[in-house]
Amino acid sequence: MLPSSSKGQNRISRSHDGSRFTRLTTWVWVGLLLLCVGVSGSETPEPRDEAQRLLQTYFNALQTGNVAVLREVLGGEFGDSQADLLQNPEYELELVQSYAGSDFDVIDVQILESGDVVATVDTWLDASEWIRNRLTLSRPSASQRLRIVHREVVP
Amino acid sequence: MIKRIALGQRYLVKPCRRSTPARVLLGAVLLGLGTVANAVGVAQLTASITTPLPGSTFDLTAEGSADWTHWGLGGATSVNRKSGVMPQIGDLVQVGGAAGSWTKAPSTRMTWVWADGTPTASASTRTFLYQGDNTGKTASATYVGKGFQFSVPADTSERTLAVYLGGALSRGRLEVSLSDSSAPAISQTIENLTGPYDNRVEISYRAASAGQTLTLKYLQETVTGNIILGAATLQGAGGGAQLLPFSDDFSDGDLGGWLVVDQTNTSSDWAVIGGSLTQNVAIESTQSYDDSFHLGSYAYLGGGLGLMDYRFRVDAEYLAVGKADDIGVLFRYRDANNFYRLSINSRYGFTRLERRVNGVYSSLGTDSRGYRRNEVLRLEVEVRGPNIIVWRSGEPVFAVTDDSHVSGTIALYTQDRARFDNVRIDPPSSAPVIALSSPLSYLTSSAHSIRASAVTLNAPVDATVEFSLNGSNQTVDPAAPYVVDFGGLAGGNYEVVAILRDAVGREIARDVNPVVGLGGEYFVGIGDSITNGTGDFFPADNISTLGRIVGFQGYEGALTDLLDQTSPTPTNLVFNEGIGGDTSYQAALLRVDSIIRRHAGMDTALVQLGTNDALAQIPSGLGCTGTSCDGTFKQNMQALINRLVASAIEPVVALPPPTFNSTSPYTSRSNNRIREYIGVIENELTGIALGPDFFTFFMPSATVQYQSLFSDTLHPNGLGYRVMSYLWHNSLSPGAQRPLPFFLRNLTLSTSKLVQQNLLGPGNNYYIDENYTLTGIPATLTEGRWIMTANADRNEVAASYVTFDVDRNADLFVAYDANANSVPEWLSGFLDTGEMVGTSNPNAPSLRLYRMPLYVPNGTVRVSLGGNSGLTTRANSNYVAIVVERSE
Repeated sequence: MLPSSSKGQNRISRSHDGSRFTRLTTWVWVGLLLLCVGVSGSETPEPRDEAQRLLQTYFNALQTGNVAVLREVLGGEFGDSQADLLQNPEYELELVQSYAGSDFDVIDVQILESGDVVATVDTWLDASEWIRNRLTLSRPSASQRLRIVHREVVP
Repeated sequence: MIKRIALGQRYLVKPCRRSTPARVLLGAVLLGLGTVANAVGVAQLTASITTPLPGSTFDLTAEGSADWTHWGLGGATSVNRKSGVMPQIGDLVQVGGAAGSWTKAPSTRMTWVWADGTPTASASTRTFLYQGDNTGKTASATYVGKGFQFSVPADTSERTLAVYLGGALSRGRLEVSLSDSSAPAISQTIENLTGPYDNRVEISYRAASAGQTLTLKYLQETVTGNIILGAATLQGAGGGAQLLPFSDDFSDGDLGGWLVVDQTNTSSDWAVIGGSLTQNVAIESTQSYDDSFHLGSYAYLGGGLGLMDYRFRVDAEYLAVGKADDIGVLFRYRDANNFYRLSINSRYGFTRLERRVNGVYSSLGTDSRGYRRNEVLRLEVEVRGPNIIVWRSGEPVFAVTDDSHVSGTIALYTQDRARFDNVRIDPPSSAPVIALSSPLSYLTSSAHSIRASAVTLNAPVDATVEFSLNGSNQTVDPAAPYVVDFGGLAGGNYEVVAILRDAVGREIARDVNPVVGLGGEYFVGIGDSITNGTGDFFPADNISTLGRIVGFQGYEGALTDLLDQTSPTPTNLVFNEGIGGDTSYQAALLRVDSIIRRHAGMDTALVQLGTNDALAQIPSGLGCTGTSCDGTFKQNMQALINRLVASAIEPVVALPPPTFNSTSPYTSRSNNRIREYIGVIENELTGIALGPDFFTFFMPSATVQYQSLFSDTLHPNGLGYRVMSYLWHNSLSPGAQRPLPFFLRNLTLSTSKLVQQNLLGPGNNYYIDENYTLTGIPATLTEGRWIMTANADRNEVAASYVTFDVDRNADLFVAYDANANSVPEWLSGFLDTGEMVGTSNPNAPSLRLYRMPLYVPNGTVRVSLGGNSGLTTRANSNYVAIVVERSE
């Protein structure tokens, strides 16, 4: 068997909806987390809730062409890849035209042991055309908010 | 009788930062001198130099508890080592030129004895190596700077290195340093300008961190005399140095000693299962890249960090059945940012030798040959000083000289499910070895010359290397480095042979590199998952005829064969460098530079991008100027093109295919955006040649679309990629057009469900809605076009369920559940072939094959087949139709 220290780092905890966790260990951790929150009165957001709020902010910014908000919510390689676009004077209008009338459906959220969040999102550009994306949300540092650091198309 | 070591007393050695090095008085026992310690934190570096009594004997076996080395016994390249241990004293570098071996030392000089050596088990000798003048009469400026250099491992454990050196009528400078500079280096002169001198230098050292090295350099400073080097010993290796041989077949079920590193945010799962070390989850994703280098997970042998020279082998098997991603090994692994890596991949089709230095990857060699399904790879590496030779299943594939890493352990590496077994690390072999470092097998070049070079191990004194091409053009290089240039060669494929011969001309080793192409064209496909071949599950056409490409997917293998068929010589090669998920930004700014460096011989880049840009709503930039171009497809593509052109590579840019992520794909936003990209490619990019128009082929009109050649909404299937290879070929070879391969037109289902036409083989799914696979296929169906329908339609009774047009003579086969009570009326006119198609469907494990010949002398014939009528016939699965082109 692997040394316990390394093996312990090799497990993913997944949750596919707001109420179902697949691993007993995850239940234990969630229980401990709730207990801590209850005792301390802390308002530390549950990662899934924080992820949902971030995704909503992101999609609102896409629909309204709010590049200032996009600069705040994007990070990592994905943020770098968008940097030039976000300073393009025509990009705001491009976003509004691209996402006018669109709809977003967050269909799955997974929380990795690393703290990263992976969200699968369907974007309906109109009633006939959809794009499925997988977004990775990560914190630049432990004390910072989640940002969207990667986006990929899922066929 | 062996005389024990008789050391003089110690004297002071000052570090190089100090201004007045102590002069060593030679030929006498020195008194009253001490030791200097250069220490920072836990690091330590001290040296003391003593002059032994004349005629002293040193027992290397007794002194070198961890390792010892003697140089020169059998000649200038002769090395004897301590046997039975992992060599830690690194290969000797003869600085400034080859050294000589001096066998005539008088009895007043040092004598070395040993009883545990290899290849000479025991000896008593005064032989040593020298650099400079051995006559005592000549002076030459060429002697200055000549000398010796070698390294030993260093970590936080204290070690003692003793080195026996000296000279005559000369001054030498000794320089000693730690690779992490955690203690100040030592620089010290030793001299006797009037006679011979022998010294024993004892160095105690300790680095601040693991995986470091201590390097000793001894160089002549005078134009007169010589300097010598005889032996070195190492004590107190400590730090868990791995003794050799080491083996682990995991039969004990234990992973003790192995440590895991995950290079991505996906956690691995390593465990010993069934007597093998296995990794059990998929690591690869669109985030598992560093530039164009792959990231995965590896398990390394923690106790081997101090290893330097060794021979390592392991049996490795890739187990995942989806993507055919990396499997391989790391060696001389010092830490997560410093190692060598051998990786093999069949999704791209490559075997690569790479290095990572301070976190930066670079390529040392690559070919386009991945593994085959279920292939057990015997991976073997020998590292000897700067020489690295890599074998794959017994064949040397890479031989390089690189001194980026001189020590480090081994690791097992993968990106997905894989199994490793029979790990073994031995001391370096003593048998003579030769391996061609260039040219590599199965590569090609547009040149008409070959530079052949070879790396040798354990070559005897006065060995020579004979190179030849196709059994002729024999040319001998009498001395290392072994390099021969062949010029004025005709285009074609060559077999390059290198033969190592001893001093009397006997062959003692050879290496043969076949299928070395000249006068060909070296292509590299650059793009996204479509260039990579996602959705192609038909591997049979991804192994090129001459073996240059061994992969599982993509258009590259078939295109290589097509180009070979229509070129003057079959010497073409198309590498696959498509990376799934890439947009024009990623290709231009994150990938292309490292791809160019990896493929120094690249003539032409086959660029295809735009699909991911369109789905990410990246503006086209069509007609843009100034800042309105920032971040657009146009700007990114032009940046990519400019990088290629700057490296004298011709970019050929394809028009991307449409997407089918819409119920109205012809008018979808994504495809309208792709049309804008096409406008950019056709009209606004500069410096390109226009490639094939995949968009128009797959979606020629609002009513004719070939989604049936797609495996999903974005990616072609196996037959789709086959067609793409022809479209690429015809674009690249306008004077040698080939008709497109056979495919069905106007393929539809009465149920309006999706339907595919595809190339299938054993192991492939044959329905679009089930995971049942084909297990047995009669030869009569070879190269058949399989119509993949929904098994859910098995009870359809429509008189016209599947409809398509055929434009040539063909045989139409229908594979119907062999356990059915009857067949539908429309099938009664078919011939029962008596052959069966095997499946993994437990409800219909055998499908009986019926045949109907189609004669289409001109134009097209519309074929319409009725429903499966499962409720009537008791068929438990839908039928499968296969159309096989008939040549008559």
